[in-house]
Amino acid sequence: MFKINIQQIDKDVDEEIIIKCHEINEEVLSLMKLFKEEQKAKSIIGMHGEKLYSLKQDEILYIEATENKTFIYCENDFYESKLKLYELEAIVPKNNFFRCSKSIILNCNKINCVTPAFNGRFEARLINGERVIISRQYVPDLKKILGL
Amino acid sequence: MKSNIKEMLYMVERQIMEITISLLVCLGFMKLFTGSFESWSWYFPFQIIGISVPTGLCAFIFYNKKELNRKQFLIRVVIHFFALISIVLLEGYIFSWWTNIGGMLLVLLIFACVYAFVWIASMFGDKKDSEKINKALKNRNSSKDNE
Repeated sequence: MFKINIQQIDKDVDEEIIIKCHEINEEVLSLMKLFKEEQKAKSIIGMHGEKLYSLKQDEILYIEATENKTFIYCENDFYESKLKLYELEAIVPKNNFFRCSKSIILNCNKINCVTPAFNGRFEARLINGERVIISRQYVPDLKKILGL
Repeated sequence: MKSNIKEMLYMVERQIMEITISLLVCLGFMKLFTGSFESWSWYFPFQIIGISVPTGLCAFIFYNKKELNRKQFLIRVVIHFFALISIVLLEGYIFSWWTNIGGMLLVLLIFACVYAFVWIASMFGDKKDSEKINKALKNRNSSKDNE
């Protein structure tokens, strides 16, 4: 039986899980596997330069496909993904992310406000001040997420 | 592609409804203010349908596989406006809506009012929608902050 010890740390320190055990047995390995799978489900791999980063889903503002490449935009940086937009759409949680145009998946939690654009479209202003267009046909998806 | 057509059909349906209602409201007020209370002829509803359906179908002018930019959209609004004027003039000529040039100009003025009303109604609807969305976003963000 493991003793569970949770320590709250500052935001600038990296989060980590340390398992202190007498031996690496089946129980420890399955625990590690569980944590890894959980992390994998909640993170997306993004490439910036030569380096690979594990991005938390709640860090992502939006994901855009342009010129056969997929880019993941966070508040201060952007990363390239090897996955296609539809593959990423299948990974991200449907209660936060929605397709806002043919080429963009938007994180609903990162929208500050929306304003009407022309032809039934809306312009979403994100928390970092960026503006993203929500196409007319995808407005019902946003409303559904918001329970409207 | 399918969702685009579905969206377009919805827009056409909405336009037909809006045009029909706007025409009835405008003509009703016109009758009221001109003091002519005689009943309309039996073919009056068909004239309304004859206007609203083809003009509603003109919404297909806005159909495009890719998202329209502002310039493309404005060009199509102008084409749409003149396509609708042509339909109104043709139907007006067939059903003898006017006897002189003044009557024709009055019909065109009514048409311009209806056209403006439809766009204003659509803009108003979008504004209402954005207010609802913003309220829901605010509630969502504040409940997330409280977690």
